[in-house]
Amino acid sequence: MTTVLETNRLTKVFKDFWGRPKHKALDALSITINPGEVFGLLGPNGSGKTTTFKLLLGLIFPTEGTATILGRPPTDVTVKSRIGFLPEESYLYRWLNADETLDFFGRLFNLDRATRRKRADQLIEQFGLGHARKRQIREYSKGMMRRVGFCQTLINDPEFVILDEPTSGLDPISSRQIKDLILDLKKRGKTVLLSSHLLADVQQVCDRICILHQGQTKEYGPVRDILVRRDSVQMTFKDLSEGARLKIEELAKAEGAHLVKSENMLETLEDVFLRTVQESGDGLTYRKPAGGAPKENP
Amino acid sequence: MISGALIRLFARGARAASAPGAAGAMAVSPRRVWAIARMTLLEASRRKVFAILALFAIALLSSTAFFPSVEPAGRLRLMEVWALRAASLFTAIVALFISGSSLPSDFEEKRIYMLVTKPVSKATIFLGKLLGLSLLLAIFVATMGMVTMLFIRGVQLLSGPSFPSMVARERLSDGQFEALRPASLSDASDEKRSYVTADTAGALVWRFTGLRRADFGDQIGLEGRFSVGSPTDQFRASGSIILEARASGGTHRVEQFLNTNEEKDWSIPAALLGPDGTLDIFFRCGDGDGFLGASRRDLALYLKPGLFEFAFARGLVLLFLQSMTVLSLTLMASAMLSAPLSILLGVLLYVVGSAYGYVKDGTRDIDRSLQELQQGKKSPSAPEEIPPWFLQFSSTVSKAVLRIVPDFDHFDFSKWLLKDKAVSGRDLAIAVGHAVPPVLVLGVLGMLVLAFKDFG
Repeated sequence: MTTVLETNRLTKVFKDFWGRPKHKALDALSITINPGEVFGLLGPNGSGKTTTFKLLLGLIFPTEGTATILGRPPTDVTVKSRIGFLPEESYLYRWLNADETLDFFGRLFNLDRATRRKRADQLIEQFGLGHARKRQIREYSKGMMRRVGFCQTLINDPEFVILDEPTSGLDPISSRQIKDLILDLKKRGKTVLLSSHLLADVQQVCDRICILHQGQTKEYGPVRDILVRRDSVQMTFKDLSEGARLKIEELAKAEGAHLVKSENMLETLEDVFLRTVQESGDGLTYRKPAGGAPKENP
Repeated sequence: MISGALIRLFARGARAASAPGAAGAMAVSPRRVWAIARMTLLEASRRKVFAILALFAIALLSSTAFFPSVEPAGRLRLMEVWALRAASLFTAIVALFISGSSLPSDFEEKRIYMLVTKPVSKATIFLGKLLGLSLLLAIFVATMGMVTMLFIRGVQLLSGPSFPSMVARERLSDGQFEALRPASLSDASDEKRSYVTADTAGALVWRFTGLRRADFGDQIGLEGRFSVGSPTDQFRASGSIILEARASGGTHRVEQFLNTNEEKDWSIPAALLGPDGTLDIFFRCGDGDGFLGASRRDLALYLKPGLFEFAFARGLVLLFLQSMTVLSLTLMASAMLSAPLSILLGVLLYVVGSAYGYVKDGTRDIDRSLQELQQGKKSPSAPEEIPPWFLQFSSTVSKAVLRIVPDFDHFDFSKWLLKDKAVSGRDLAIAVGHAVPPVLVLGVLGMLVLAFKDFG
């Protein structure tokens, strides 16, 4: 199986005005991403996530090492027609409206007028921007700008989607929508590379991750392999009586196990928030993506 | 700072150029160029850049405040001068500021990320910007021209018959030229000019062929400029000359007194012109001890005046071409420098291009001084405190600058308009010849600079 992305000791050293090394932002990153995989790049601020994205997209040139995306180097212009990129912030043309913005990016992908129009309509509807599509982007809230950013990322129905902090600046509803969108993209066979500070989000959607710190790879592998604690077991029961619980605890003790924690299961705050908001009936609704990114015409 | 930027750029460039797929950075896609150009125009219109045109219209209207102090006959000139200066200034502002800030603002606000991550080469991005800004400039110049014409025609309508007629005569200056029995005058000689004297009964002759009677009115207008003097009197700078026009329809002769290098007009009956369309013009010395000198382009015929608006539009093309050279340089510079530095470079081009003639004359003086110093003479034109090495350096730099910078005199519309002359097709071709090469070179340079730039 051909890899979607492969880096081999990818290194970036930023230099000062006189060309002297100033800061090693990325140190010998070697990763591969397979087709249909959701891959997470994690790390604190300044760990080299955004530098990696810039290298992979040909925005900056590596000091050492190589990278290939869909079998081609990042500087190859043609390969970018198969990629969708969402930057960390919405770097959009603020004087254009959503329709014009998507039309412009569609033109850059050489899409014909009908396809541009159809995809823009689908994406605008999917991301709930229909009411504001004719307003200039400078009048948008941060979350709305982010959603336009998503629309432009998917306008070319990309094979490989690169998302830099996809949920940053989004409210919980939109954030959940994005997570579902990522899973939907995966379901449709797309490959996703994302970075995020929100570790719970990453855990939910990613198959494999790479943790960077100060430009160096600290962890790399399947999420489950990295998170699993072989010396601890967690069991979740529904409708377990107090008596039955005590019996299980005693049995475990008799078998030499040490009880660390025994408590009722908690819902996530996100689940509670979404349920509360939807039940309030004030129009704020969470919609699961219907088919994710627009599909090609048959 | 500029050299530092260039060194870093080329250091990066060498690395980037060796990367596989780097050749694609220079591949240009016309559809994407158009998409970026269109977006550049659209964004400029949303930013209300065209509001500058309203300021231009107000500036034009304000010229009417001076009407009471100007005779009706001079009002056309006042409006023309006002409109040309304002158009020139506003076009310069637009060319400098829009082109100087377009790419840097894309870099600063990181919008460039959204372009470079799409299947768009950096060369395409640069060309798209160049095309979009050029169209913006063209719209500006065209609109300013239309506003000017509407304004002048409006004033003409309200002023009645006292308003001077709006004339733009087109010149023909491509006659074959030769000097019959030329004289060699060591003192008066200029390498580009031919001289004849009364002693040798020589004549300066221009032959115009392919003329059509319908292109002229009753008279054929002539304009000439001559060196007139005497080989025996170096202080004489005037004299009498004899014009003789010969065509298949007859001969016309007239004698005229004129000063050296004075532009003089003559008229000859158009009826002289026969069906063969050939007209020979002879100029001879009218004084027994005089000389007469001219070059090929010192005599021009005038065609029948055409539509003023058409002539005015041709003049605006000159203004557009001049601004394009500035726009290209500023945009190219902005691919590697900050907006203020790029704009400063554009301003420098304006200054040097406008002072081209002075720089050229100054360089010639420096060379003469150097020559005199090499011959051991004391140069009257070079102060003693300036060392020869500095003169040499100055001469070398000036020559290099003159080679790079176009002479903005070729784009000067006012020298035609204010003398009721139209910009001829030849003038237009000369201006295009001076504008297109630098625009092309700067365009390619800009594409290369952007191709090897990283956006870290």
